[in-house]
Order: sequence, then structure tokens, then C-alpha cells
Amino acid sequence: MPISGLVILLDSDETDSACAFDALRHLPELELGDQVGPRIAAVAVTPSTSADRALIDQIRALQGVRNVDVVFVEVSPAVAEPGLHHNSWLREVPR
Amino acid sequence: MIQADRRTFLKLAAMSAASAAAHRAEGRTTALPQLDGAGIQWHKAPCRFCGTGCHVQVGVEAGRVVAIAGDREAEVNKGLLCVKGYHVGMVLYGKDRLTQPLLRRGDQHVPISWDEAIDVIARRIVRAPERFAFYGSGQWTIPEGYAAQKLMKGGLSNNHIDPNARLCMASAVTGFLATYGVDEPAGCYDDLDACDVVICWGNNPAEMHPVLFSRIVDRRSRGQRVRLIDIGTRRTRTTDQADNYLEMKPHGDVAIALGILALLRAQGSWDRSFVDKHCAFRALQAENTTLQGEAITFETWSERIAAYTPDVVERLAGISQDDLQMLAKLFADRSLRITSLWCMGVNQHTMGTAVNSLIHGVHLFSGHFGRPGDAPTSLTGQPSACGTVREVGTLAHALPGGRLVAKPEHRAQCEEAWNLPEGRINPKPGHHTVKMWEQFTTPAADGGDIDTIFVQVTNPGQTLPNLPLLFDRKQGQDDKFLIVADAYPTATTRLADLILPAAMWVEKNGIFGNSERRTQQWFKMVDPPGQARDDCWMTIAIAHRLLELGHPGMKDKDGRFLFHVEDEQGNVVPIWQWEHYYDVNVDKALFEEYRQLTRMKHKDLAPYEEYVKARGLRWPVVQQPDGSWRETRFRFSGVDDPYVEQGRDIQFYHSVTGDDRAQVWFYPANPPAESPDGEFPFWLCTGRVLEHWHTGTMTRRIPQLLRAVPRAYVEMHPADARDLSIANGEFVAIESRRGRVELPVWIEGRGAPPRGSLFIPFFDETALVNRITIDAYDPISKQPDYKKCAVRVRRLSNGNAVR
Ligand code: SF4
Repeated sequence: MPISGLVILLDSDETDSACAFDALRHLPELELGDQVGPRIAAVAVTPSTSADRALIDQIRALQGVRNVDVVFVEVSPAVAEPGLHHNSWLREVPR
Repeated sequence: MIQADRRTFLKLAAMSAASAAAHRAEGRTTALPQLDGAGIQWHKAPCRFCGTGCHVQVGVEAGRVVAIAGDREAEVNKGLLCVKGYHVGMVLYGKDRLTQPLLRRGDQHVPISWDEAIDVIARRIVRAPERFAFYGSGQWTIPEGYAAQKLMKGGLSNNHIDPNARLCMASAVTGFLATYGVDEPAGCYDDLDACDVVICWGNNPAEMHPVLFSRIVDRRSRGQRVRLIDIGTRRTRTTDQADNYLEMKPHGDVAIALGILALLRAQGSWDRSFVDKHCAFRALQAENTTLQGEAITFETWSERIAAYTPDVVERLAGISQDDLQMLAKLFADRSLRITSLWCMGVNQHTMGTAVNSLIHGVHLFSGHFGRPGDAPTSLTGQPSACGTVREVGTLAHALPGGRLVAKPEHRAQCEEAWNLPEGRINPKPGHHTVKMWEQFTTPAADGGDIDTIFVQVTNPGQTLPNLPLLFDRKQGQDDKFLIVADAYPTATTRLADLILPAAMWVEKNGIFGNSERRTQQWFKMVDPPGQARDDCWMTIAIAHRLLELGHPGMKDKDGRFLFHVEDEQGNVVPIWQWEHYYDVNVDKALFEEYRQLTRMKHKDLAPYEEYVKARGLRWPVVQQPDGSWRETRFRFSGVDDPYVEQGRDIQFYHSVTGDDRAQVWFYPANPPAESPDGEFPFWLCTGRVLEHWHTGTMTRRIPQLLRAVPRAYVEMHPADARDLSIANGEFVAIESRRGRVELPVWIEGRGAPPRGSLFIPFFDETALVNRITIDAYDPISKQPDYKKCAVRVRRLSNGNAVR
């Protein structure tokens, strides 16, 4: 269950940003914190790193969201995903 | 500790980091809640990747990095990170870390001990010290580079040491030296908070220096007006935010800079007062290409520059006359504050020194210099290209602190600082990067005079231009011996004879120096895996083995080891033995020795302990009457630089003319080394992408980043693809006079090259674009041009070349 800390920057258009704020409040993986001007601090808790990425993409795509900065990421082994394949020649080398 | 507590704590830490970053972005201060707790300790470190030099907070639990947060106290990034930065903790945990020394026996690499490995290297060196070369990088920490430099130049009297930074910022160095007589930017990142106009000269900071770019975007989001002008050869994410996009022909930047100067001169709109007080004029000698050139009069300079009229510039550079007039008008307006940014587009250029000098010239001639926001600022790609390469001087012609091997007084100063006998340092510059690898891959019988290279923290098997000539030729030459220290298998270890497992980033102590003269320190936080060890230890262990083998250069005048370190009681610490390496802080010992050499060129560094307390300090760092240490944001400017004499607004105190003047250069616009023709009809430009850092050896091992951009591609204009019947995603072969690479085509992708141009990123070791790039280089900086060569496209489906 990866944990990420986010800063969400809302649009200057008040109607759009109010819509975005409403949409953010209804995302179950997201806990909203302080709002500072057009920026909202938030924490995302998702089932996997790919879900984390998908959630950030989803937030970014919301009408009224201008940008999302990720400022905290968990790197625990518990959230690591299976290693990806490298064309590493060294794997064939005896150790 | 129960798991729920830990999770709750991590959530609190994440919210605290986000909240602090939101406050900072809005320019508000907030109490910084402590992150420590639940068994997790937090420590500061600069990000491992780019030259921006953001700081992160690294969460460590039970000997492992478990979380990364943007550092809220860091001026550079104010708590923010880019997509690479917030994944930086994962670079340590790729599944194929190198964990023990491996020696090539026949066609296999077999494990050996560290003792054997160090012995093999020392014996190779002792056999023929003058045929040994050391190849490092701008990812060397400052102490690592300093140790390598001292071993080579002070110990072996051998100047064949050069870094990969030769491939990325050597032309920036020569541009600064030619203009101001001293290297590195006068301004700093604060300029981005104060400028009215940002001009990007052939660079794409939205992807390459994203956190810096976000300063501009942030200012706009707060309603401030910042005009962004993107001068480039293809549309990028920077273009998406630009007010003006000026698409130039490859190599057109020289003509654009000349054209601005010519218009300012012709229209009489240059800053006469600034120029009269602070500038002199210069050009290359007719018969000789040197960094110094020769002094010319303002009248001669004016005559030469006058040839670059708007219609000539339009023809040479491809931008419209109106756009050129617009640029000249901006520079003519002294009420504006203009910051120029550039990076690889200007540096990786056969006229790199020229275009760097000309951009400085545009700022000087127009008086856009010396006020916050008014600055020509080159950016670097690597985290310590400035700190380790430019300041420590790990280049084949350089010595620490801006000194040169060719200058007797500079050699004498280093010999004195290192307590070496007079004449120990060789006065002849060593081989620069391209020459070093050319000599290494040329058989000895044909004159190749390098037979052993030790590579640390870089991947030349992927980054050198024209790889078939400069790297692949090594294969099968049994008398050539390649030693590579790295954290992971790479395109370079593929041909290595000896592979050494290296500790990386927070697995060791370190000090970096970023693009804005900021020196940044961190401590080791976790152990490296297996037998991986620090690069600096490797250098010192090799030096000591050389001492044991009787090499006379490994002792100073008093018979002490070159890397003599004592503890607080005055006892010698055997730091060449790994088990004693961390008995003292070797970084601190080397840094304190090095910083004594930094004052000649006013690059003064503070004591090590000052950097422990800070999130980096920008040199010159000078001591105040109250004993505190003060950094410098704007050099040469009376508003901030402590070395500018009282009462003066500007003083170029390292002027090559000795009169406190900067040099405004003239260079003619010469053609590139290779241009498209009937056989190879496309321009090729290479570069980076946001998600991957350089050759991808680290970022390709971070699943999130690899998934985002899994492989290299070739960007092509849709009309070119249509003409050639190439579909999006179709694999093609890109061929040059040097080699071939196969890639899928990306039409209307992230970047958009114009017709007749292609772009390929270089991060992918499965598709080495440097098999086709050209090894032509700038005659002064010796930096190769990765941004333009001629290629053709061959469809793989029917095997025919399409032109
Ligand atoms: S901008 Fe550069 S230094 Fe900053 S987080 Fe990204 S990669 Fe790291």
C-alpha cells in the first residue's frame, strides 16, 4: 500500500477549481490536508505503485487541476514491484 | 512497533511534507513539523540525478531507505521534486546490483577478491604509468574527483584524466573563461524569481531541469508575468509553455546571437555606459584558434558584426526577421530583466565556445547583467559537473581551483599544497575524452598510446560519440585493459576486463556542486550491498598498493603517503584498508585540503562543517567579521559579491585583459561538421527525456520510470513519415556514415521535430544512438556535437532505404 504526499495546484478559474475540489474530496484513496492559496496538500494511499501513478494521472486530468507535484514517496520493500527485465548480460555470468 | 503505527506515521510524514511544500510554494512560512519517529530517521542529501541539485529528505529504517520527501528547507526546490527525484531512493535497490569484483578470464567474468583486484590495477599502472588513463564524471563526488586528480597529477605525473563532463559542459567552461577569465555563472537560480523574460537557447528545462522550470510556471500561477521565449530545433514541453517559439535550423544559434548584436549596434540601442565601463572586444586570431584570441577595437568588432543583418540571419538560422527584431528589441529595453538559460544544445556543438561567448556578449553589450534576474546562466546536466569537474579541475588540462597544468606558477602552488617535490606535476595537458578513447581503441602498433583506462561513475560505452570508433574497437585487443567501477552492469562493463562493484549515493559520504555554484554535503546512511565499496576508497587503495610496489610518486617530500590522514590524536589512519576507511571522515579530510586551493580564483569554500549545517552554500563563501559564513548569489555585482571593490557596481575581477573588463567576442558563423545531403538526408538530434537520467542505468531500474518510457524511439514529422510510408510505431533503421540503430517511430510524440529532422533519446542501452553520432568536436573545448549529424531512414519491412 504505497503512500504518497501530493501538492495539487488548482486553476485560477473559480468554478473549475470548485469542481476539482469536489472531485478530489470524493476520491477514496485521497486524504486532503491544508489548502494554501490555490494549492492543496494531500496524501494518497493506493494498493500498488501502478495504482498510485494512475491516481496521480487521474487527478492531473481533472478539470480545474493545473498541476500535481509529488513531494513524498514511500520506498519500502513492501511497495516494491517485481523487477523489470534488463537485457543484462551479466545474469548469465557465474558468480 | 506495530505496523499500524508505522503506516500512520508515514501518512503523517507525507502530509507534513505536502503541507510544507504548499506553504513554501505560496511564499508563506510554516512551522516545520519533525519527520522523525516510528523508527524512521530522516537525513538530508542532494538528489542523485541532475545538475539542478534539489535536496531530498531520505527516510531510513533498519538500514534501508524507505521513503523520500522533498526537502522543505532547501532553497533550490522548496520541498518539490520531479518524477525522477521522488523515485531516487529506488536507485539503490535494482535487482542486479554488482556486489563483487569480477575479472575477465577468456569470455567469462569470474569473481575475485578486492585485494586481487587492487593488485591487478596497480601492476597494470606500474608497468607503464604513462599509458594509464582515468576517466570519471560529473557524478564523482568532490572528494572522489579530488582524490583521482591527486593520484594522477600529483602522484603519477600523468595528466590523462578527463571526465564525461567534457561531453556535456566543456564549451560552457571555455565560454565563461573567454568572457570573464573565470568559469561558472555569475547569477543563480534566484534570477528565475526576478526576471521578466526567460530565453531558452536550444534547451528544454521543462524536461531536463523540471524543478527549475516549475519556478517559472509557479510565478505565472501566482499571476506574475514572465515571458518565455523558446529558441529550438524542435517543439518540446518547454514550447508548450512558451509565449514565443522560434524554430531555428540546426546550428542557427550562432547566427541568431550575432544578429541580435548586429541589430543592437546598427540601431544604437546597446548599453553604451555599461560597455564603455566594463567591456572590451575580442576575436580569434586569423591563423590560430585559441581560447585567448586577440583584442580588437570596437570599430573592427562593429565592422565584422555588421555582416549579420536580419536577412542573412534568416537565411542562416531559419528564424524570421521579425522574430530577430523582437529579440533585439527586448535586449534594447533596459527596464526588463532577462535571463538566458542554456544547456546541451549550445554546449554540444562544434561552435560551442563561440555560441556560449556570443550569448554572454549579447547580455554584456545590452547591459543585461549584474542585476537579479538579468543574467546569462548555463545549466549543467550532472549533479557535480560544476563541483567536481570545473572546480576540482578533473580535466586533462586543469588543476584544482581554476588552475592549469601548463602554468608553472599553478603547478608550483599545487605542488606546495600537496607537499610534493618541485616538477612533480607534468606541464603537458593530457588527452581530452575523445582523444583518450581514440588512443585506447587504436592498436599500440598503430600509435595508440593508452593501454589501460579506469572508468568510475560513468558509462562511456553508451555516451561516447561514434561508438564503433571510440569504444567498440576495444573488443579483441587483448593488450588493452578496461577497468570499470559501477553499481550496475552497463554498456561499458560489457567490454570491461575488470569490474568493480561501487557504492552509490547515500551508501557513502559525499559532496556535490550544482549548476548555481552551490556546494552540498551529505553523510552515508545505509551500507552498500555485498562487497560494493566507495570509489574514493578504490583510488586510495590503488595509490597505496602502488606505494607498496615502490612507485616513488605515492610519497610526498617528507616520505608520507599521498593520502596521509590522521585521527584527532594524530595517529595515521590506514584508510586504504576498507575496514578502516570509515574510522575517520575521509571526505572531510580531502575537502579541507582541497578548499585551501579554491581562493585564487575567488571560488572560496567554507569549512566542511558549515556544509553539514546547510542545504548547500553558493561560492564564494566568505567569513564575516562575526565569524559566520556568507554565500554569494550574484558574482561581479556590487549588490552582492564581497570581492567587488566598495562603491563599484560591476567589477570583472578576473578579466583576461587585467582591467576588470569582460570580453565581447566576435566569431563568424561557420557551417556544422556534417549536414544532410542526398545520401543521408535527415538531421539527427539526440538528448534526454524527463523520466530517464542520462544512460538510464539508474532510472531504467526504477519500475515506475521504466514503465513510463520503456524504450528509445525516433521522433519524426508526420509529413516525412507519410512521404516515406512509415506508420507510427513501425520499426526503422536509422543509419549514418558511422553505424546503424533500429527503433520504433513516434509521430506526434512528446517532442515534434520539423520536417527533415529526427530526434532520438540516448537513455536506452538496447538501442545505442551513439553508434551513429559524429565525433566532430569544438576545436577549443573539445566537446563533441551530439545535436546534429546526417542520417537516413531505412524501413525494415522491405529493407529499402528511404530518403
Ligand atoms: S530536477 Fe533534477 S535534481 Fe531535482 S528532483 Fe528532478 S532529477 Fe533530481
